[in-house]
Amino acid sequence: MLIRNSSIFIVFFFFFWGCSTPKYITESSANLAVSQNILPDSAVVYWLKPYKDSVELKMSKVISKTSNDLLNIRYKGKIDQSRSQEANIARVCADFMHQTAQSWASNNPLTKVDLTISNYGGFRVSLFSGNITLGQVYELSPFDNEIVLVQLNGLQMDSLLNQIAQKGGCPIANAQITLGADRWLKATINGNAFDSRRNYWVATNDFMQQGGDGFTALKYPQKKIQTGILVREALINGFSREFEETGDINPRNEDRFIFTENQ
Amino acid sequence: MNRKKFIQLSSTLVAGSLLHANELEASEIWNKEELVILHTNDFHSRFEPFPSTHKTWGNKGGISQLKTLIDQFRKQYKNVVLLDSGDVWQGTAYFNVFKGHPELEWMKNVNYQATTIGNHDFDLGIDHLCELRKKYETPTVLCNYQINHKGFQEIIKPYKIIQSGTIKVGITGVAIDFHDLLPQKSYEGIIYQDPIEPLQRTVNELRLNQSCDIVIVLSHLGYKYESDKIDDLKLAQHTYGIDAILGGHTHTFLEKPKSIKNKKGKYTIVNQAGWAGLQLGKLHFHI
Repeated sequence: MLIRNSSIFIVFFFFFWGCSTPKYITESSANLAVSQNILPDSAVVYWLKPYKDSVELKMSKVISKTSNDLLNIRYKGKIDQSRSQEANIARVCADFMHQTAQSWASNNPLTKVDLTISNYGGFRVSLFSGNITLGQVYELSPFDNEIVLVQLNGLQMDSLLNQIAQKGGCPIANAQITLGADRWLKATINGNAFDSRRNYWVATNDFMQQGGDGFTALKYPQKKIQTGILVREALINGFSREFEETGDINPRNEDRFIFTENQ
Repeated sequence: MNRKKFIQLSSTLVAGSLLHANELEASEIWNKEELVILHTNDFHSRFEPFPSTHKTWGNKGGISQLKTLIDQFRKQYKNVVLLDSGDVWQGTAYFNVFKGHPELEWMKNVNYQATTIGNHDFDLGIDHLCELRKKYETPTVLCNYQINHKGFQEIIKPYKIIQSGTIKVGITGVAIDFHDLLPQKSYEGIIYQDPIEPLQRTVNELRLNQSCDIVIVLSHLGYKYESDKIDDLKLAQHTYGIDAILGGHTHTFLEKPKSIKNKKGKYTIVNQAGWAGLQLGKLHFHI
């Protein structure tokens, strides 16, 4: 009996040793949609209510309106002729940052902003046609990053333009750049061809200026001025002003980057 | 298979004395424990469904609906583990107004059993992150940061073991290289390490010394990069002994969890559940 039991023990030891890896069940594993057909849990609704009420009180104010979808699309250097027809939110936001930076600089005789750049990660959602609320601008620009102005010499500008090329572009205002693979080929800034003998004032956000997102060319500028204005404030002002002045947020159909065939 | 279960099983079988192949199969089924892993990633403060005007995700998501779904599985299965892969913060005005309190309170209320750290969890600085994760006792696992920050040391464990019924679930985490993603001051006292080696060490510890039945990795590295930057797919290929890598960061929607051949020719599941509470990942195992 003893012998028999131990032999069974051994047989089963090996049998279950083989089975010791967990078996993954494909058929009943899935990514399930959290859809509106699911009944909301009332306890969670109750718990969330005071937070929700407070957020709505602060954030539901309509500050602007757009008839165009302002899409958050990153082109990553792909050649796509249709892209210039779209009201890309990156262009809208870069313009608003540029306007704010320029008006700040107009009160400071030492500066004149030549171009404005941001990072794609700085503008995070699409805004679809309809009202634009304060809360949506917080979603678009959730970070408390401020606008900084940096003065770069020709060499530093050259590295910056190359870093932009390596990224396949970025939100940009007041400039048009032709990009090759990993480097810039042609740049027009403020309507004039890039001149490597002069200095340029670049407006950007403090995250990028400190080398964030790999834009190290901004890290050690000739001069640097912190405006104290949050990027988000510039967007809030921009969205409300453009709607007040024109009744809409207008598409920016012009190409700011030209991608060459060897891209 | 843990020891207790093995002894339990052997004695049952010994008592049954004579055994044929079909009986053996029956006892195998009898013995199987089911384990369901539920997981989310990149919640990004999205408490409510997307507004109806949103052309991609209008009316989708929302924690009230998510909770109903989680509860359904908790009712249906005995062993359910709820996990998250980081970036619970940042993305809606809730975060700007309440500075991250409701996100962690929600995770505590719904009983997330482990999570890791995402880059946006540093957005209000490392001290704030530590203060809140301590306050809400957020169970955070991470094995690839060298930590010289006291507060961070207090909130991070290299791994966590969850006993679910008779199953011992080992959970660890890997987080992203933050150098390009964060301002320097927000991660002072932390050094990023390439995850493969520290992860393999931690997995070996969970498998061999802690005798876990199943090992799960929470990752905030990202699903897939074309470059040689480490991602979940590469991580799965270069390690072994991991049953599933639950990812985040790249906000990837997958039709089905993927099976990836690991370093020893076995399979590791790699999954990611979109973002913003739009999906709940569900992995089903028999152990």
